[in-house]
Formats: sequence, structure tokens, C-alpha cells
Amino acid sequence: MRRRECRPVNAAGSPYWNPILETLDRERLEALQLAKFQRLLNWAYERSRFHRALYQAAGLEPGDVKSLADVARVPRVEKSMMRSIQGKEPFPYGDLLCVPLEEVTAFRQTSGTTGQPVYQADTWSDWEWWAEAWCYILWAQGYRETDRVFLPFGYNVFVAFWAAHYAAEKLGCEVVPGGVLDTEARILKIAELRCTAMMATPTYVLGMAETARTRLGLDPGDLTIRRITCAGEPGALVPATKRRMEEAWNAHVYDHAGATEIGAWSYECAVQPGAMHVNEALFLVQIEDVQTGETITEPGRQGKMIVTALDRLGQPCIRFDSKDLIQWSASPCPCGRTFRLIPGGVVGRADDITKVKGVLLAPSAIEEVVRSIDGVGDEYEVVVTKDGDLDRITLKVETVPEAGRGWDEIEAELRHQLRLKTNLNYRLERRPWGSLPRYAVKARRFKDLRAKAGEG
Amino acid sequence: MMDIEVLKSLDREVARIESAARRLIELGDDFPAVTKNASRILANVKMLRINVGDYLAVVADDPSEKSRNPE
Repeated sequence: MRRRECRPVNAAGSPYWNPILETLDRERLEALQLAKFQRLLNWAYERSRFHRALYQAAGLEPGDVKSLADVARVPRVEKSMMRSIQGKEPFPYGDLLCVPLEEVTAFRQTSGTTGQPVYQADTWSDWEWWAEAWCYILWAQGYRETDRVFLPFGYNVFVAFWAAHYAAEKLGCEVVPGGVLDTEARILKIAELRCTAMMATPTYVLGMAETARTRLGLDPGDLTIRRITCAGEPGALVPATKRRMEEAWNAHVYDHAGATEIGAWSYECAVQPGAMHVNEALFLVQIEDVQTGETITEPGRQGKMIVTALDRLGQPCIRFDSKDLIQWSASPCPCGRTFRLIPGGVVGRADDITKVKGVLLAPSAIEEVVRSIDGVGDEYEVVVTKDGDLDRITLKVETVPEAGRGWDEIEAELRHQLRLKTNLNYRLERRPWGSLPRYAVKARRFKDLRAKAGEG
Repeated sequence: MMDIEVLKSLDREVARIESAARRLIELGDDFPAVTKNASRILANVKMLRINVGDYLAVVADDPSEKSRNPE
């Protein structure tokens, strides 16, 4: 694989954005988290009717939380609860707000992937905090003053890479906003300005590479991009997808995880250990068993993430039930950070896993198979339907025009790997190159049409 | 690990900036160009608190730090 040499991350100065907090021993880190959690709980209890009512209903006073173990007694907040109060006073955020409306300086909303978008209020301090969390990410991934960073996303109501923009500026990078340009214009601008880094969803990173090749006759690996930071989808830690992106762009590809209601809570470091660090100085992440709610502390056991943003005050995020599935790693990271690792990053969503033909299926497992097979294009679509009483699952793929292998060979490998990794047999459809949808932001490749068929 | 005395010096300087920004807001009263810019400074001061001061507050009562760095 071709790979351009990136500048060593610790060539000048500290390899850590915060050399104290990122290398803190666990005892002190947990003491810091507890102190911050207690402060935040008090803050929200005093200022938000929503939080006060929630805690009073659970028979909980802020002073009851005396240890991190006690944190599990604090009720979780679900997205549906946030939806139910927004639109009310103080408009449009409702009782979640902990500051006077006149202190709110930024509006964002969730993408609405799982339903009605949730509104998010941020103050000046909160917005600085968003950028600060991103500074931890970008510094760890080697961004420095010498980088010219291209941001090819629609600057609008979705948080996307907004905070990354400000963080890159804070680091001293030169930031090029690629807002309303189309994909071809964005690629040409990257070439024209010799940008060294960019950030996008994995879907769009691959889509840009394809556009460069097929529409502009450019090899994206010949451009000057040396590092790419991904967000919005789990692909940058899906090994086959990461490899495709790195090979296409001849660059290091790093993952990060964040959400509008939470903040930028996790990041892959320059070591690329196949895992992400949880920023435990700014966030308290707990993992709970999906069925029982029991707190999981041991490595290797998957559960859903319950997260608190410890310093966000305008519209706090306290024990938010993210539905993201993660697990703790048993190993420390060679980079020296003591922030714990989550192998594979966000490996799925508690509300994403679905039963097909009686088998539990995580859509990310299909992606891993599709992207690992030579000759199969980056785009695919999965459709689950009902055929009488039986589930039917169809996978639509494109083959690369210069695949160098026949469809029969590709189909056989696909079928075998899908069976192996997901325990299901698929109806496979080969689609003409370029016919499946291309996505600029979050892809929606998994379509479960069973409920709709039943409703009809 | 950075020396605790260095961190305390950093924290003292942060406190001075915060105090100065708050004073600017008081004095600026009907002078938006002063009050708003001073308020923005406070938002940045909070980031310095997050990165330095909050940690110091936690270790302030830590006996091992006290024995290493007697006041």
C-alpha cells in the first residue's frame, strides 16, 4: 500500500493536547470525574425543571452521589424525553435549559436519523468547550499549525464538523471551508490549495475518491492529503473500510465519535490501535448491560454507553442513553494516554440490531464483508422484506469496472463471507456501476421494509 | 508529570485574567464592545479552568501531593 509519510506527531513539543489530564493515573482521573459530576448535578438540579423533576421522581438529591458507583442511581435521559419537552418554553429548548435564553449563542440539531431531530442549545462557553474537545482529537491525530485543513461539509443546522472547524483554527491550522461546493469543486479546491488534511464521513471520503477518479481523471492518492478524520459513521474503525480509504487517499485515516447532544467524546490516536480513547477528562462514560442495566466494568463485555458531558452547562448532557454499543479494552495504549480504549469504537447501536430470519444482525457486519472483498464497489444496499411469513434479505452491490475478477467468483466469496460473518443467506443483486445511491453525509444503506409491509 | 508548582502558577495567572475580565464587564457597563469581548474572554478562561484548575482542585487535598510539594 502506498502511504505518504506524515509528519511525526511529537516532532515538536508535547504529543498530548493536555499532558496532565491525558496521562493521569486512574485514581485521580476518577476523583476528577466525580468532582465534576457532582458539580454538574447540582447545577442542573438548581437550574432545570426537567432535571429536578427527574431526580425528585427517583428520590434522588444531588448530595446522594458520593462515589462513581452512586452515579448509576442517577436516572438516564433518553432522546425521546428530550423530544417531548422541546418546542415548549423557554422556546424552543424547553426545561432542559440551565441558562437564560439570552445566553444561548448557538443552535444545532441532531440529524434525525432515529426520529424527530433534537434541538441543542450552546452558550459561548459550551461552544468553546466543543472546540476544546475537538482539540484533544486533532492534536492526537497529528494536526499542527502547518496543516491546511479542508472541510467538505454543508455548514448548516447539523453540528457535523462545525466544532472541528473552530478546533483546527484554535490549533493554528489554516482552515478551508468547503461548504456549498459540489464534490468535484471540492476536490479541485483541495488540489489547487494543496490541502494536507480533511474531515468527512467514511461514505463521503470514499465517494470523493470515486468522483476524483471517474469524473476528474485524478488519482486522489496523488493529491496532498496526509490525514483524514472521520465522523458520523463507524467506518473508520471497520478495518476493511479504513484500508480502502487509506489506500485511495494515500493518507492516514483516523476515527472519532461524537454526537450533537453529547459532544466529541472519543478519538483514535496516531498509534491507530484499532480502538478509540474515551476523553475521560471531559466525559464520564459508563457501559451498561442492554438487558439488565447493570454497570459493566470488565473489559471485553459489550453494552450500551451512558454518557455525561462533564463541562457542558447550557443544556447539560447527564447520563444520556446514547444506545451506542461499546466495550472496554483490557490493554493500555502505547501512546501513553491513560484514557481508556474502546476496541473497534462504536461497534453498533442497541436500537440498530435487528432480527432477520431469527438471527441477530448488526448492519456493520455486512459493511465489513462488502468492503473486504476485492472487486466490490464501496456502495451497497441491504433490503429486508417479508415473503409471506419468511424474512428475505437482499444485498445489492456494484462491481468495480476494472475488477479483474468475474462476478461468479466475487459472488461466491461474498456469499461465503456473509454466511460466515452474519449467519445468514442473502439474495445477491449485482447492480450497474454508479447506480446505487451516493451519500454526502450519513448513508442509509440498511432498509427494513418488513413493518411497512405488515402495516399495509 | 508537570510540576505542581508550575500548575499552581498557571492557575494563579488564569485567576488574574478572569478577575480582569469580570472587572472589564463591570466597568464597561454600557459599552458593548468592552462587555461582549470581555465575556468572550471568560468563555476561554473556562477552558483554562477545565485544563488546569479543575485538576488542581482535585489534588489540593491529596496527601501525596502535599508531602511532595510542601506549602
